[in-house]
Amino acid sequence: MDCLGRRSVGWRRDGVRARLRGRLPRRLLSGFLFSSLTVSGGQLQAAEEVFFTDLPIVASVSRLPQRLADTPSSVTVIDREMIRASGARALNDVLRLVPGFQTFTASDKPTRVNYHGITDDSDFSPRVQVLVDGRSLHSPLFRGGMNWELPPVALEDIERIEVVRGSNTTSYGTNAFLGVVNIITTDPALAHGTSISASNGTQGVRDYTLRTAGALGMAGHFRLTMQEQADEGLDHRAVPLEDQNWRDRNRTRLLDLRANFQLDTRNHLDLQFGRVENRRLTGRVDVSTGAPRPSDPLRPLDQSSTWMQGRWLYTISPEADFSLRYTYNEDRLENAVMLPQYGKYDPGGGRGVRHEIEALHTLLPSEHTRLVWGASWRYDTLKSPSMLDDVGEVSRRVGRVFVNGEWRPWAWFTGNLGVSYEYDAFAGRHTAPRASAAFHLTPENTLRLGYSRAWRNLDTLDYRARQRISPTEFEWLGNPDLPAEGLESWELAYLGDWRALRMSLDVRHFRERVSDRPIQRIRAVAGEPYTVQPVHDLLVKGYEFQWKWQPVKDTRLAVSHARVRIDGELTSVGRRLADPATGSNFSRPANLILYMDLSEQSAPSRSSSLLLMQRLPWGVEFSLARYWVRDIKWTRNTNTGKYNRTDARIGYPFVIGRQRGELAYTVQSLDGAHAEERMERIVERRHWMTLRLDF
Amino acid sequence: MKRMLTDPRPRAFSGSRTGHMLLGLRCLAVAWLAATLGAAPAHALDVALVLSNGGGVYSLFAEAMQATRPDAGYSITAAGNVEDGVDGRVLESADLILAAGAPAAEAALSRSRTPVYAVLIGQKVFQDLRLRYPDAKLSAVLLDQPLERQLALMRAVLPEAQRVGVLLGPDTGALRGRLENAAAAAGLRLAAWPVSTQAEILPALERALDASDALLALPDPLAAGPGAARTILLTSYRYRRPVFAYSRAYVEAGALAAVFSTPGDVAREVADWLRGTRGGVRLPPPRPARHFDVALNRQVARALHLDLPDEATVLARLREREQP
Repeated sequence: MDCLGRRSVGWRRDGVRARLRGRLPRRLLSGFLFSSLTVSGGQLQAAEEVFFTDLPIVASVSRLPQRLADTPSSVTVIDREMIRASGARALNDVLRLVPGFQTFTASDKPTRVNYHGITDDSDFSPRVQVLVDGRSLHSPLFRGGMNWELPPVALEDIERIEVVRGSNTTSYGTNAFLGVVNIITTDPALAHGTSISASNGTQGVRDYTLRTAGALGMAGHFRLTMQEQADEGLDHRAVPLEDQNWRDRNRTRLLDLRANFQLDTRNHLDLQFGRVENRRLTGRVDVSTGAPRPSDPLRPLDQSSTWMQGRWLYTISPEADFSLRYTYNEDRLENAVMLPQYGKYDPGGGRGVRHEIEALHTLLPSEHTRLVWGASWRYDTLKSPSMLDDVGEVSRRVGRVFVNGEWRPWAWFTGNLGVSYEYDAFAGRHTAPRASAAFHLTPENTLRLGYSRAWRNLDTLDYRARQRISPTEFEWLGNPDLPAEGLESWELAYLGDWRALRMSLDVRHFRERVSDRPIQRIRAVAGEPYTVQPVHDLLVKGYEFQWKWQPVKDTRLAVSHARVRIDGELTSVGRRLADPATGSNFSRPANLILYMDLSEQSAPSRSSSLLLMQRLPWGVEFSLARYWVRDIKWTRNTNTGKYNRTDARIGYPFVIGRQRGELAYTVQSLDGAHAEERMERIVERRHWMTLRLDF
Repeated sequence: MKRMLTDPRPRAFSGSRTGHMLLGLRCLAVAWLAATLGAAPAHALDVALVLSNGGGVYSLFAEAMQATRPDAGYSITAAGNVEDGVDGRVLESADLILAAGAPAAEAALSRSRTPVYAVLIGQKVFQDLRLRYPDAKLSAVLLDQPLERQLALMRAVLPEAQRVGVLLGPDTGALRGRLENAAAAAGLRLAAWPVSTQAEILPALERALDASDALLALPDPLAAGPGAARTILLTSYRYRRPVFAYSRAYVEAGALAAVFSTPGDVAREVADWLRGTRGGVRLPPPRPARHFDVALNRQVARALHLDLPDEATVLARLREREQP
């Protein structure tokens, strides 16, 4: 110290360093995030710290979208505008826009969605994985598949849908056998205000929606949606009198709550809770008298799905993050009938519960590499008094680990390599590899060659069913020796991406070899109960393309087309069962043809879609969707002829005084009546008006 | 002037009045002795350095100042920091107080009449200080980058951009006119939306992004601060529009690019000025640092399908633009 009491900076430096060590982490990691409002010292300090405040890393590696040219599969992205423009009222209808996808209008027959056909004789879709914010919608209660009558999200809350066309079990598990429908809902931070809407239209369309969103403290946001959709379904009077043995009525109610919190700059917590319930009419009436059929009377089918999910995302650095997700899902279905020989009988009924934990680590080990690896563990239980008679509750454990790497050593090449290893308590152990090589011939033109091997573990009931038809007789018994359904897939794809022209083209040629495709209701020996048997090997081949063009800002065009051919042959099990000496019902020539048709005709040979979106003066939005679908077979005993369908929507956003809103008119099947699932269900023109008020 | 700089008028914050008077008189005597010796070289400027606290950017600035080797006409003395205590005697006896951060500037202004050169503060804070201490000798190196520099960054990184969107909050609302001129000069059309509450951010953001090719985030605690950053970045990805921002942290969080002055840049700015003072203190007008740095986020660029030049090229282009 000199005479003026000064100390040199040098003298203080060690002290400064010590403080730096002591304070910096605390300040950088936690203290500054909401300093603009919380730091003492007032507004002065607040304004200043804006410059040096650490911010939550939003662009974490797992959150940033991959370039389509780098992805290992073809991907169709459907954004909010397209969903609205499609005029869809139900989630499954949106997927008509994706090449190779098929669906149909729900009636008393629940709707389904398939990709490249290969339909089952059940009410559910097990071969395309459906995820909402990472949560699989496949359920042990719904035959290990997706129940499309219980979509757990309102269309208005969907940010975008990324449809992976092609097998991706490596990343998403056994149900991503042929593809993945990845639904990403709107982040609560991007939802605002409150809106109510009501729709009123023909065929009893009465829909009501309430959506609200807001802040939760300084660091949280929430969004809440309540929706009821009701209609009187398809009209039985539209089919010949002898086929009028059904009635149709539907109602779905949804509650969906999502909240998230940015705990600090690196920790983000996302919580979801919701319930969807559906009631529809099932059963048969006697055509001549109109009275309910005693063995299958008209009665309500009540089903519901309730879920909770928590996801923690920890951003290790801008180049790496880690997420941990826990999901709880409970599904219930009740559709009981009293049978004199059996008592209470409810073949689809029961309760399925799923717990799932998944950990995911995404990182960029080098400038040219991206790596995702993780593990998940799942615990399913199924209780079904009629299907698991005298068994009680069946539980099933599934664990998997997986890794996926992307390698871009040169500007002209992207390689993807992935492998997963899955253990299933019922199906055993399977390894699923995948590889692809993309050559970026120019920045606009990419050619990709891909290979994958996948397995689909069958449903719990396929292995364990014990369905009784009377106190002494079984209708269906599980087949514990069922092999997993196998897939070997090759694809050659071209991706053209002309940003300057706002145009993209995606062409994919595929060759998918499906082995041990199971068929239900086969008696291995005459007089024995039904079982599921792996009777078919299939070769699915064809091509599909999608073309998107936005010639001017106000006009968007999306065209898709798919051509699919399925050729089937009998497996060794199939050939054995086809031998009349076994007495199997499968050996009957009529059945052999019927089952082979179910495999080979499960996809239309050609299907196309066109979506035109046009913004008009005064903010009016007009859109037109047109679909062309060739003959298809959805169930063993039904056929559907080819059909075309046109949907249109016109929406007028208005501001009256301080009131904002939208008035919209939507029409489906503008060009009239046609069948989509079976010729006994006629889809007629349906139209409705929607009024939405925003507050 | 010289007398004023060593004005020993006591302050009540520490020690006794008499003690200070005595100390002051002693200092005066030393100064007089130095002045009267005549043969001594020009007076080396005594700079007191006071920090807002002892950590983070303030200690980085202190270290950077030390690294400027204050041997050319000035010496730096640490006067402590606001959190742990400020040495009032150091402030009193200095020719100039270098105050890092708003609390430090506030402490210096309230305790001493020595000229204060504030650093690591923004335009808004400087204006507030100016209003509260209208008579003080006060200037600052401002953290706010010139609008022209920010728009030049946008031009250099995204040459095809034609429209720039901006949210103007309470602290930046007054910039609209200047922003319009700067945008026009850079060949950009401006889509500016005012926001005054947190609830207005998202609707304004959607309109701004819908009508622009890129968003410029200005340092406004409400419109672009930590509370709004996540919303801004997520919405910008939704609209596939890049964000240009004002700090490295913003780029790490997910903005495409930013131009900013680091504590080191500010220290260089101060050192450059101090070397030119030749012992006398005539504070320059408040202005942004001439030294600056840029940061780019390549992951975001890739996700948005943008080709980025490297940082050195961008920096060189921006510096070349500002060459006199």
